[in-house]
Amino acid sequence: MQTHRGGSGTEHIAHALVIGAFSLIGVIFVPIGLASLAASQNTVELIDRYDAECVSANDKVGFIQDTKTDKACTRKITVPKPMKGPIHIYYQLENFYQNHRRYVKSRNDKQLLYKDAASTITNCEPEATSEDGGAPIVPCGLIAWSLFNDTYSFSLNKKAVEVNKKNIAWDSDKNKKFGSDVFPSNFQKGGLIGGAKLNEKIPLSEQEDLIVWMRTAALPTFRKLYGRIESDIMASDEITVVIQNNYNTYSFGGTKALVLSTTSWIGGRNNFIGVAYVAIGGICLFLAMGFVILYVIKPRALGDPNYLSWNKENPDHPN
Amino acid sequence: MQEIVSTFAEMKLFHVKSLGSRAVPKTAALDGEIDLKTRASPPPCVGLEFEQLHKIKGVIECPIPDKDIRRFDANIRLFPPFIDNDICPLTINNTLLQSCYLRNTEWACGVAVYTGNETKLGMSRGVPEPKLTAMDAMIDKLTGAIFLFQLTVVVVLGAAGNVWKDMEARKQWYVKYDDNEPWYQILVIPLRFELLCSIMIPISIKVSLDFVKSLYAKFIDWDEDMYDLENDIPAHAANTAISEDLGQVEYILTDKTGTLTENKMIFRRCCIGGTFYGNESGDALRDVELLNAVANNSPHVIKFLKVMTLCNTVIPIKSPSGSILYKAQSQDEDALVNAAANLHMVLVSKNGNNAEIHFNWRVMQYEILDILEFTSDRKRMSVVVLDCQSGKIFLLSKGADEAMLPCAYSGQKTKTFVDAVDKYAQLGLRTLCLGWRELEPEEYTKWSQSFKEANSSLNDREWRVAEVCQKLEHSLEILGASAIEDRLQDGVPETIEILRQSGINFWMLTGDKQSTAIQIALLCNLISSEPKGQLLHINGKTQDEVARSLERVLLTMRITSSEPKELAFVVDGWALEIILSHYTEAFTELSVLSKTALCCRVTPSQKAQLVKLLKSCDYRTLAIGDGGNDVRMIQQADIGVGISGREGLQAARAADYSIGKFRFLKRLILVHGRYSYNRTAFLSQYSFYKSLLICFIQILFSFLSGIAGTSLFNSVSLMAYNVFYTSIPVLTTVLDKDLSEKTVMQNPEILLYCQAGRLLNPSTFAGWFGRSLYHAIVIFLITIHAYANEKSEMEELSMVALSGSIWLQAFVVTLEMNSFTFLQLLAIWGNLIAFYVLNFFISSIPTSGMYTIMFRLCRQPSYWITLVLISGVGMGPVLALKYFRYTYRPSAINILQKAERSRGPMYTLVNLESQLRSDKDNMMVAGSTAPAKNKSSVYEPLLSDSPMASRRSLGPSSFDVFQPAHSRTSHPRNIKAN
Repeated sequence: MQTHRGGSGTEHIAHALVIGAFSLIGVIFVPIGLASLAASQNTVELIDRYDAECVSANDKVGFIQDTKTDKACTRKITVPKPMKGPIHIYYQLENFYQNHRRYVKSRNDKQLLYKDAASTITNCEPEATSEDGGAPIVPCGLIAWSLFNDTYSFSLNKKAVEVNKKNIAWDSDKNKKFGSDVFPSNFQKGGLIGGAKLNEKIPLSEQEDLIVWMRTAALPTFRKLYGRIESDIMASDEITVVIQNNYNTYSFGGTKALVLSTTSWIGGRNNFIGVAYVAIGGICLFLAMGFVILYVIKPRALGDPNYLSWNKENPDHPN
Repeated sequence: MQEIVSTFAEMKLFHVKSLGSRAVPKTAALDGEIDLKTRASPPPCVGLEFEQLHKIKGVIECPIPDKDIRRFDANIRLFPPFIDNDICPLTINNTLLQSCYLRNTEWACGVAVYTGNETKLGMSRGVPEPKLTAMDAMIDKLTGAIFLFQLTVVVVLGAAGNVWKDMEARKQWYVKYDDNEPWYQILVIPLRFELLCSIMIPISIKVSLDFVKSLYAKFIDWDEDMYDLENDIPAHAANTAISEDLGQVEYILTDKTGTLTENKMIFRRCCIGGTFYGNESGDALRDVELLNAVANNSPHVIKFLKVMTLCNTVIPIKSPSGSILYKAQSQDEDALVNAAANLHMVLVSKNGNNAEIHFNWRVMQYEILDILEFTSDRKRMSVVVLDCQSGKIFLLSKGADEAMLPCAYSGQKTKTFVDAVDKYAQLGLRTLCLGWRELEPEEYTKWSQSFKEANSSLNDREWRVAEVCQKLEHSLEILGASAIEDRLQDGVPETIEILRQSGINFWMLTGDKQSTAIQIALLCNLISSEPKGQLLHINGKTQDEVARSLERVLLTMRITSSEPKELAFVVDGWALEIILSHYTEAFTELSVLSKTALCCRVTPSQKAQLVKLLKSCDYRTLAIGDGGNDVRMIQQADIGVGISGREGLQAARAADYSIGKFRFLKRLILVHGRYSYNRTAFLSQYSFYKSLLICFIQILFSFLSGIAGTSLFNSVSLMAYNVFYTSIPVLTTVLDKDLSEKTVMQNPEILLYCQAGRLLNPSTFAGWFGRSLYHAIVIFLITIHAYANEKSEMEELSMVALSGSIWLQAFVVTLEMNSFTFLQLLAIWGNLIAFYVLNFFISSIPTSGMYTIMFRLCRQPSYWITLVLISGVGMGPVLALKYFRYTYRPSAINILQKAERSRGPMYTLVNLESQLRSDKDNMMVAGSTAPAKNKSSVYEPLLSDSPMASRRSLGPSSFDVFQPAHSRTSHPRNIKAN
């Protein structure tokens, strides 16, 4: 029987294609990864978890539920690297399930948009109507009811810094999802207060904190935009934040943090994509090299019908 | 009734105006036979005037409606003044069946007997039993497994959800669970998971499969390579649901006459009174001796010719040009009459019962008194004729030798005829013995009376008539034997060779005699002569003899199964009857061991029984035939193929597939069956893959959403995912060809992959299951990490995950497709573009939940980077694994694919062919020196290289003891647990 080892010409093409494909993936992925990693590394991100330190009492739930006590809390953050404006201010909640089936559905988009639809409260249970008269709550539902109500005021080197709270919500939400002629009514009037109250003079389309909050997060750890600091901050500057620590994350073991972050083309600081790209690219290059070595050590001719089992002489078969 | 009008009900003829009192209907629509049949008015009505017709009063007794179109046994009794109270039999010959066309008839008058669904056509219309392919059965099993998996998921996650709810969610004030809620709230979370997982079993799979199956059938209908130009018959798939089974055929049971042969009978040789004619030239009609004998009025030869001319039901029709055309119901009769005409004994006309024969310009008149019809039990037919010149009555008979020779008068030496018949049969010729006897008028009159009685009996008429016929058919003078050639169809040996190479076992079931069957089997490569092959006979007349014979054959089969001999066994109908009723187990073992079998002299019901037997061993059977006697076998088999041949359309109508010629069978199986199997295998598993993928993502998400059963995807996306995003690209799999048709034809062994079910089985399905799980994990993990923190907005994140799935699908389909036509590329990548177009559209509707989402995402570099990452991580290992297998552990399909691709389309065929040929030569050389290099060992590595090699386990079986250890693998195809 003839032997075909190695083969020639076109027979290499399939090998070349696959090895080439892997090399190409490697060659493309590694630079992209490095670029994203660089972008991510260049952003400056300051995270200050304050939920534990801002409550001195032992009974944290009791403390937070008491409306009488002063909940102001002062935090000092030193900036390690210079931060270029605009600096985004986020609040970060952990172990908060905005994606819970019961929670995520508890809203009514019609009611948020149309003035006449105030009594459209489908899906809003158990925060659909006020406890006393049964009047519809605007905005209804658990999401609006549990609106985050911690507030922050910043000062840089003892000088107050203005926080720009305009345009923190999506324009599309402000224009098309929340009515400019819809005003809050019967909101947070019940016995159980959920979160923030809303100014009944301001239409929903301008209640940007509410709009941001109502863009529910898909993950139990999430950040939402609080505002922006438009000015730059120098390295080793000290930021003083006075936090009104109102929001109850204590009863379910959630955490709260304040995040200051600059952005790059890839978004905030997130090394995941960069690391993943570099790793995958590396593995692909490694695989391609492995295939080459395998091919050199153990060449197989492609398309050799001698390898068809019914064409193969069978040495094992006893004659 | 006018000539063209189709009949709507079944009618009894009363009066017919045409050539003699006969209507000549065409029954093509009913049984497909294109020859004309004569139908006559019953004797009491003959001679009635037109005016009298509407005054007729009488009673017709008819049987309960049935679907046998060859029988109609009824009685008529006319009231006075028309003939006396005489009961007169009515047969099928006096009946016009529904949807016949009248020909050569001016008008006919009759009475409707049955109408509507009670007619023969209506009765036989019946709903055919739905056939389930092996693939469908497998898909159903897998669906069941997925259903169980789904239930498990629902129960486990439902329970976990309730636990989490009580442990955690009640503390989460923002969810505001009611503390004293009703008990049934415990069902809410499991039901939500049930909803989430309901798409795990793709409903679209049924729709897609039905769609592609109907396309497979259309491909068969459209196939120009299966168009029979000669008879203008296209291939047709009547059953659109079982194309995949074609690719999994393991046994082909074939009829002989008309299926392997052309059923075009030509009179070749004869033996008259001990003299052989036609032995030298092979054509008796040109044999000078015979011509001389005819010219010299040799009495034997004249008698022989008269029987040839008269003993039949042929109708001569004078065409306008003066030549005479014969319309015969049997091809043999046609051949005989034509041959006689060539020997100057011309049947000129048959008017009523009067036949006119011209012999050397001498006119002879005969009156046909009775016809003792042919039945498959009697195996002979006779006519009683009155010679109008001499007034003598003769009985003319013809039939199979074993039905005729015992009827010879005592003292006649039939040895020569036995020899002649044997000799002809060895040449593959069909033989008939002809005989005659002069009847005494008294004998005839007496017999005629009882014949009439038998014919008018309502019960068991067939049997009684046969009994009466027996009384007359004895003491015959055997005149000689005729030999008629039935040529093999074009390409039959090649087709059988290729199909056998592909691992299909052939059984030939024929009503013909053993020697003819063996001869034909040799001619068409079904069996090989010594020393390559060996034919084992199972015979015997008594139960003991048959048992011994069977035991002996079985023993030989067990011992020699390791040798390279091509073993086959032959059994006749008599022995088969005994075997099937007493020794089924032994016979089953025998059929499992033997690749080839010849069954001769079998009845239609035996054919069906054999099919049933093979089916009971879990083999996929295909039955192919052309005649009415094959219908039961065709209906019984997993796949029935009918040849639209000369014996009418009965078989083709009953069959799942009808083809014009036997040779198209290889294309039907190797091309259509194989592609259908491959395509369905991919389509069905892919359908599960995509549904599982989306479900797994949902399940993974539930772990991050408090196990509350939140759906990550919105309802629009979920709906569109199954209907639009993922269904269209995969449908183009109907165009996919893993190997070119030519390669498949050259390497028919590749069919084994389909037969063994290598492409769709729990193992491959597990692969797809694993792939969907892996892809779901990849998509989910990358998405939640890339879109973490401030980006973790619900709508955006869900759209990223959805885009990731769609991208991966596009790559998966691309990777799994083998051939790339423009349509396939368009469907795959056009679908991806359509996904974006559709989502841009939805994203521009302000009221939709997805408003602006897609636009926002497409502007983010991180969206694209994430998707590329998902594709890379998702496809990298799949690609690497595939490459590794392709190169270092290639399947036979891979090797042939490489051969096709690497050599380019121009070189491939030539090179591969020569290579295969040289390999074969090598093998043959090796085979001659080392006899153990056997052909069947070719299957061994193929089967052993995959864990899923056999779908039936090699259970311990009784014949293991007799086999050397290695033969287990050398005949794996035949060792199946039974």
